[in-house]
Amino acid sequence: MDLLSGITLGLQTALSWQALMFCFIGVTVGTVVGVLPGIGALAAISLALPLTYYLDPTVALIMLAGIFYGAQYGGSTSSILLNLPGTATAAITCLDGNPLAKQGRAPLALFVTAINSFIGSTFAIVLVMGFAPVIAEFALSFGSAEYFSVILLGLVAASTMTSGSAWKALAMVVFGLALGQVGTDINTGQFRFTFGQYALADGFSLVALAMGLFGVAEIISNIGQPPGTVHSVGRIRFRDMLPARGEWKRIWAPTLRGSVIGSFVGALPGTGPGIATLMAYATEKRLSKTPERFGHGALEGLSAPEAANNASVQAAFIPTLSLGIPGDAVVAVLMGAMILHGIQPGPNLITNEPEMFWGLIMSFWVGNILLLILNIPLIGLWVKLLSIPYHLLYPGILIFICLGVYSADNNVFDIYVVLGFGLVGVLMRRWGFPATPVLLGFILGPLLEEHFRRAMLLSKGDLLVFFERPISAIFLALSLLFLGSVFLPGLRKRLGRQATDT
Amino acid sequence: MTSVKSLLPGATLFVFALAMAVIAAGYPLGSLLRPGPGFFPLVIAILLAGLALATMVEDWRRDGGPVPPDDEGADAGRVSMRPVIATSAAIIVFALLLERLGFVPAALALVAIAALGEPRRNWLTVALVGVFMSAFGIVLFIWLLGLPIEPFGA
Repeated sequence: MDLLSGITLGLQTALSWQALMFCFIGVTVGTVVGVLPGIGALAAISLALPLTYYLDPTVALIMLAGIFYGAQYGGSTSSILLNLPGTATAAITCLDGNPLAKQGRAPLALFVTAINSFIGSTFAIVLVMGFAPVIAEFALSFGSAEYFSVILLGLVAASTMTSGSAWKALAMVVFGLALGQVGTDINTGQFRFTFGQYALADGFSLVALAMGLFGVAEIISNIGQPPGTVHSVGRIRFRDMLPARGEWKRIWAPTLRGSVIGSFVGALPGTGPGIATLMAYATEKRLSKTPERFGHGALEGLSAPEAANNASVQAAFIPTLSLGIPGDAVVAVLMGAMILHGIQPGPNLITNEPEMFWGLIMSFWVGNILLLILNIPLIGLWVKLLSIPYHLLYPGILIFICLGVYSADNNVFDIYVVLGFGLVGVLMRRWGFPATPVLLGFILGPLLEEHFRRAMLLSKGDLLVFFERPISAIFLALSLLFLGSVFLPGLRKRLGRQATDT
Repeated sequence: MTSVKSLLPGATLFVFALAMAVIAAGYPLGSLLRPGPGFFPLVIAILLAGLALATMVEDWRRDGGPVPPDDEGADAGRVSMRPVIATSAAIIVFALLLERLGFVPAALALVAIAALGEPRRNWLTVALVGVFMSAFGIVLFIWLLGLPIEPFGA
């Protein structure tokens, strides 16, 4: 299918009234959870996942994806006004966004954020349209050895490209792999680690794991925390939003660079917006002739990470839709949603389900335009949302979480599982273990094992097969390169220091 | 003895990995040609044990220094026990009551017990939140999504 007919088909799907409505619901919910500190896109998508069982899979995905990128818009709002990142990935936005608000320039900061988010997304969407089909066609020749290696690359990239301890992140990927081992072995039917619980025969529920590690753990950590003070914005006039002529000049180049960095980082399997924003910020600071302005309301320091953030979110769909390997933890849950809806993500997706592929991509455009409309005039509404006290919100979220996991299988056991992982999550936060890699390991683990065993059968037990097949060898070499960066800490330290040293 | 305490995270993970290895070794391991159901878990457990040791070494070396934040923005600060206990109790009671007394009693109990996790609370607001969530839950989960649970009773 050529690009043009793809776009036409996609527009037909994305502009159907049902798709439009659920896209709108998705981006609105996304903005809300993004604005509210304490619930991220991941928890929101896991919560919404059981609600989509009744929808057409394409529409369901359009809505869930809308929550994902909508949250990136909303997250910046609370970063700027509250100095409290609404989503974890918006943390960098606090650095220069909040000082701008303190200078009374909140409308400008919010406007620049919305526009840059839109530009970053647009840039990455074009890349998804261009690259995903090409990569998918290339990936059709992949055997099990190649799949094993590319999944391994994704897992290694996810854990080594973090600003925290790489050892801990690596350990958490493997911990996720371990959790993914629970359940029936697909090849032999052997029950593994089920401890006599029939409820575990299918393994842990993805929704319960995600909601425990992210939702419950987040709530427990937030209870009793002093609320942040909302910076008063007053009446927001459109005139205050527009940057002055000299300021446009400072915005456009960082926005473009941010879009490029974000798209690149996002397209790598396993790396998400967190690292993309960090890299974009560090780059701008390094390129700037006046780095001392960063942290005091520099527009460059706001534009680049915002563009990178949204670009990486959209670009994360490249490996997901073309290889079936999620670009980041949130997309991993989306992939889980596809599988629950009976759709196998992978190189065959584009040929088998062109309507879903093109419809989803076109819905990104629609969603981003909706977000632009939602965000600029309705900014006052989002600001009001921030004044809802947390203690009124979280009991409701807890009930949602419990019923959400229950509804997946109508089994009370999953409620205990979600609590168990919530407690594990609290402990992990306290000990500095990141939770995202656990989720990636959990989702990719079973695929990794399946391809390993299949590759071993085909090669008659020869481990060298992974190195003899050229594409597989390249992926393994890249994995080693990422691992090597852990042992060469100079580069990582520089990156980390640049971004935090303000 | 801060140095011993700094080893706790890695040590916990190590014990987990060890337990996993012991259980995995009980499943048929197979061979490289035909890996059995125990093969992959065993490899994972050994890898995990190794990485647990690595994090222990790292924590030992940095002992006393600040823990760098990870990119999820999760702070490594202390978590007080009160919210942990209250939230856990709230979820357990909800799970126990849901299929026995119905959704509304379970939801009200959850909201009430979870409120105990706060340093102070206003019971009137707690009651209002409980009533609102019960009504909202009935409409969304029972009427619209058709979950097989009753508002009251099993």
